[in-house]
This record gives sequence, structure tokens and C-alpha cells, in this order.
Amino acid sequence: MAYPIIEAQGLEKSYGSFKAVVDLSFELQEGSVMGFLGPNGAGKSTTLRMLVDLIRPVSGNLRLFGLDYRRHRGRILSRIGCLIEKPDFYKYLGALQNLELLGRSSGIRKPRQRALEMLEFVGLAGREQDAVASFSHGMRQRLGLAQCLLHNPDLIILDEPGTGLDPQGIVDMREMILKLNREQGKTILLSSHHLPEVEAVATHLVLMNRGRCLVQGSAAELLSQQDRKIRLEVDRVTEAMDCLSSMLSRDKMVQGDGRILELSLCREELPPLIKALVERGLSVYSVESRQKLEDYYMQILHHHNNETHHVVGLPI
Amino acid sequence: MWWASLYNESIKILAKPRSYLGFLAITLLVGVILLALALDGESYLDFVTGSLEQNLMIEGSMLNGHLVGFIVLQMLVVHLPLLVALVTGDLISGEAAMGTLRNLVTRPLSRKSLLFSKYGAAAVYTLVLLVWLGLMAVGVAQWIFGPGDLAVLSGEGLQILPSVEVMPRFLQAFTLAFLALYTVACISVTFSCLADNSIGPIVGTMALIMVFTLIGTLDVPLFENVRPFLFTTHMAAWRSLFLDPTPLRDILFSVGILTLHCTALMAFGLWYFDRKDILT
Repeated sequence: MAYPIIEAQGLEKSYGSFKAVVDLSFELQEGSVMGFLGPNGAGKSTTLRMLVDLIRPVSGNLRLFGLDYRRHRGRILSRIGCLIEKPDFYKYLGALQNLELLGRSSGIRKPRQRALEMLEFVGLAGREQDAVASFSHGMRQRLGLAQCLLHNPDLIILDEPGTGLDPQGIVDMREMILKLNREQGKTILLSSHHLPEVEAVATHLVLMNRGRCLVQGSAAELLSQQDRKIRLEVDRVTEAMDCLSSMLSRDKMVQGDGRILELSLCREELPPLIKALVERGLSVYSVESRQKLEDYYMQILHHHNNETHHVVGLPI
Repeated sequence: MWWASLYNESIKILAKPRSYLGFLAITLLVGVILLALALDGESYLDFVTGSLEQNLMIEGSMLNGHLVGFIVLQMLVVHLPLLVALVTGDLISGEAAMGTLRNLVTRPLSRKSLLFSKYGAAAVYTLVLLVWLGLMAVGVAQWIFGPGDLAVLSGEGLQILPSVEVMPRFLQAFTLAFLALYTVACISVTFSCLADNSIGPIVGTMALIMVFTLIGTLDVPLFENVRPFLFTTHMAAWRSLFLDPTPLRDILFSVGILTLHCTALMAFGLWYFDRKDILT
């Protein structure tokens, strides 16, 4: 049975009069991948920094692996690997030397051997001795992931791991995250603005705005609460709308540009609609399902922004 | 884990080009001084001892390796704090500026152990720099000029120390000079905890030395009670080890004041760094 790896209750953090995190509570279960979402300045990075003891909350309780940071800092950090913001290394040292150094700080007995293994895992074998100064951003990102996995942590915290990566790099990063979660059982906390990537891997979601947690829970449950956006390309749009009007209310149908018909419906409603269109003799050229997370994200943020402006009158 | 961290810090210092600036500067400065003394050392000594020759007849040459080493030390110990601060002031703030401090602080090693290993690395660097100065100033000078009795000018006049006594005194003097320089290193490492850029702690350390030196030299009654407790007052205490008899009480007081400074700075640094939010 899964148990909570992170238990955050009422976390608060301020910088002067600015409240970066306000009464934040959430849990992360063992073996899950949590997508940590929010716009810039939402308090995501501050929260991640609190989770790895880079900064201390002014109030609230934070327990990791059932342990309290104040008493068991070393034990907790020995089980966490993190990549916070951009991956920074000693540019005047080689990749292997950088990892060896961090391995020793993590208490690894054979840091060189482990560093070589990790360099191979992230696809940097053969570049061990090269100075980090000569690495591209993508290579540094991979090296960042290697340092994160060096001490075989149970919890991996990744802050924008896809930033600056090319499309192949993003796919590789996604596959690595899935591999770590599914094959090695690692629990992962992933903060990213790249919503399709989060949607592809996350089992749970936390959405923050202005330092507060707006929603949290299972990704499947949260996303099933809203309709899926479907774009249909048909040869005769007006006729298609007439055909579907008996099965779907008009407010769930919008005529797009050219031969595009946009529908808002749940997954199960789609097959009979397509069947009806084909039986009517209409040609369906394409069916495109838009990202649900993106819509959900925009909907929640829009709602929260309106609410805080109208009700409170001022930003939190 | 602390030893592993100290080893890491030593590797980083060794790999940084700026660490070698101090050694290069010492080599150049000592080279220039030795060359000047080798070419025109007698004239320099005549200028210094000129006033004594009315009462004293000096036979033979006072210019030897021991005296040259002593002269070089007097000239260079003033410059060493800058060379020490240049490297030690960067130990924490440099990591913050580079972003690597995040990687270190999120390891299982406690923040106190991490910072303590930085203080340890600062001690190792200061020691190695001082040993290099010793080798250059005393070792090379002896090789060029040969050994001999050491003539030292003090407030009480000219003192001659027999050649056999000089080396042990140099060793003691270097130990005391190390303590003085390590106090400077502690200041810059502690300042380094407070900043997120490399320049601030280095400039801050030098500014503090200047202010304290000024307070120490100003003949104002207000400062008289403070002066004995300033570390800058004891930076040149190593010179007392070449006096005969050695003012042991004064030297022990200097050791006490310098040790107190180091301890207080370390305690503050450890307390502050343990609570610091790492935002870089």
C-alpha cells in the first residue's frame, strides 16, 4: 500500500511583505508522478526549495518519508534527488569530476564508479573528461539528471527539466521519467510549464496560483471533470451540425474556420457521433483531440484570477 | 563525510586558476626583492644602519640569507591578506553566484559540516601559501646569500641573533603569521556566507582591515581601549619572536585575541549559514 512521501500542511513563506506561499497543503503518494503546475510567480519554485531544505518555511509542517526535517535532515536528503531550476556545475571541472564530487558529498562509497554508471544512463558516456563549460544546454540538463540520480534516491524532484531541450531531448527526458517511475518505482515531483509533457506522465496534479494551491488530486479524476475538446474536419460543416444537433446540444458545437467543427464532449460520446456523420454520407477527414490539461489549467486559473480580482479586489 | 567535503573543497581550490595568482604574485615579488638586494643590498643596509654607525662599528657584512628572509617577510606579510581573501572570499559566495551551492546544500551533508569544511579548506590554502612564502623568502634567500647572524632593529636598538637560533624563530614566526592570516581567511569566509557574489566578501575583508588598521594607528584616546582587541593590532605580532628576550606574555595575548576572532567568526558563520535561505 502506498504511503505519503511528502506531507505538507499549512506551509507559508514570505520575502519581506510579499507572501510567496500561503497556507499550502498537499500530499504526494509513493510511486506516483505529481505534476506541479502554475504560472510564473505562483510559488512553485519556492515550494520545491522548501522540500529540499534550500529555504525554510516560516510556518507549517513538512514531513518527508514520515520524518521531520528539523530532526532528520540528513536521512531525508539522502533519499531525495533534485534538479532545481537550471543545472549548474563547476565549469572548470569535467563531467565525471563534477559527479564524483557530488557523490562524495552524498556519502557514496565508490563515487567514480557510480558517476560513470549515471553518465552512461543519461547518454553522456564518452564525454566524461570534457569540461562542463564545453557542454550544450541539453547536455547540462542530462548531467543535471545524472547528479539527481547519483545516490539512487526514492523521491526525484524536477523543476523544469525540459527547459532548453530540443524536441528529441524532450522526448528522451519524458521516457527517462517514465522509466524511472515504472521500472525503478521512483516517486517523481515534476514542475513544468510544458503541459503536454506533464499530461503524458503525471498521475497526480497540484495547481498553484499566487502562492496558494487551487486544486490537487488524481490527474484522471481532475481531468474527467471537464469535457474533451474535439476538432472535426468534415466536408460540409452546416450539414454536420444539423446531423449532430439531435445528439448534442448546440452550445457544445462551434463552427471553426473552413471545414472545422469544434465539439465539447466526453470521451464516450465521440464514437456514435462519428458513426452518425458517416451514415449521413459526410466525409470525416480528421479527428483531433486537444490537450485536456491545457484547457483545464486555463479554466482554473481564469476562474481564480477573476475571483480574486472581483471578490478581494487585490492580488493575494 | 566532513573529510570527503574537505577533500572536495581542496580539489575545487586546486582546479581554480585564481588560486594560483597568490603563488605567482609571491614568486614575482620575492624574486624582485631578492634581485634588488643581491645587486644593491649593501647600499640598502647602509641606509638603514647609517644612524647607528656614529656609535657602533660594524665589521663584515650583515647581508645574509636570514636577514634577507626577514626583510622579505616584513615587506610581504602586509600584502598576503589580499591574496588570502581573493580565494577564501569566493568559497561560498562564488558557489552561490555559480548556482552550485544548491547542489551542495541539497546533499545529506549538514550545512554546518559543509561550511566547516570550507573553513578547513581556507586553513589549508592559507598554510600552503605561507609555506610557499617561507620557501621563497627564507629558503631561496639562504641559498643565494648563505646563512648568518640576524641583525634586528627594535625599539631598544640593534639586536644580533646567533645563526643557530634564527631558524626555530622563523618557524614560530610563521606559525603566528599563519594564525593572523587565518583570521583574515575566517573574515572573508564568513563574509562569503552573507553574500551571493564574489567581489563583496573580498572588498569587505580588505575594507575591514583598512578600517581596523586606521583605528589602530590613530592616536585618539577613544580608540585606546579598543586597540588591543583588534585583530589588526596583532597581525605583525610575529616580529616579536625575533626579539631577545622574547615577550612571551605579549605573544600569548596576541594568540588569544586572534584565536578569539577566528572562533567568534566561525561560530557566527555557522549559525548564519545554517539558517540562510538559498535563493540563487
